Amino acid sequence: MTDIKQLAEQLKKSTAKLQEHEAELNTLSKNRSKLLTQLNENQMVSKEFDLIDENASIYKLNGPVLFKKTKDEAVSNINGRLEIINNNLKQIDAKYKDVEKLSVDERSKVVDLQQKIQALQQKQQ
Amino acid sequence: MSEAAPQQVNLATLSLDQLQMVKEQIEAEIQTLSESIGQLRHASNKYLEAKDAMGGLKGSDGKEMLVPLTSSIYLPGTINANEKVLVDVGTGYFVEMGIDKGQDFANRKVQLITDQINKVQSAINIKRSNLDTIIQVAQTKISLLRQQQQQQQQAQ
Repeated sequence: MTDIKQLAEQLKKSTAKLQEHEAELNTLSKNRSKLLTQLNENQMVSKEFDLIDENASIYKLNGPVLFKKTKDEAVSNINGRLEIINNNLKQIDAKYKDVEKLSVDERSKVVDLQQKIQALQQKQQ
Repeated sequence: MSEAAPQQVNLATLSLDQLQMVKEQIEAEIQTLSESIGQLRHASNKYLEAKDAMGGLKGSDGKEMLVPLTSSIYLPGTINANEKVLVDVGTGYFVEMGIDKGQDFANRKVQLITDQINKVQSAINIKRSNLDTIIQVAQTKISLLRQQQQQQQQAQ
């Protein structure tokens, strides 16, 4: 009887952990898709910059005000942003893999515990 | 679409309740995709409007126009744009370009959106055909169940 109780306690803990991991995976994938949207938008702007004249006037919207920028400034700003976004994406991908592994491990633990408990219950009957 | 193939393989092994669940899920997906097509069309129309407005600006320097202050108040003004427009290229950047280039920009965007609409449309078509298969499988199952019931009744 005590065995089952102990196992049930472990199962409870493992399930809680599993839910935690899954919630984290959820937030990570949400952040990832947000970053992908940003990446897409910045890439489109970068492509537009490739198409315009060297001496074209470029303005940056800051609040309600348009500030004049040179093309070099604008291009390097966008490239910097692309780099930051790509780095963030890499970080999130790595983190996602880690947490995914934890989650898979925890899930197999849960299944294992459930089977053990079932086996013990059948023995008692 | 990678999940479509395994779904079709094991459709026959699903129970009627499960089929119903899958059907509802696919219907919800089709709904979401149709809504995104509506949004894409809306965006595409906005670019077409901008392109039209730029066309109206062509060769109109020095002419008078009425500037909308609100939707019902207009002020007289003179066009002094020098055939240039300021285009929002995204992420807060605005680029000054000639009207032709501005129209090219609008065309590029419309093309991009049209491509996306086609992609979403083909995704919807795939989902629709999946839905048809599911309904067919469900109907076969139902008629099979009916036959079994009739046979049992006759046997009694």
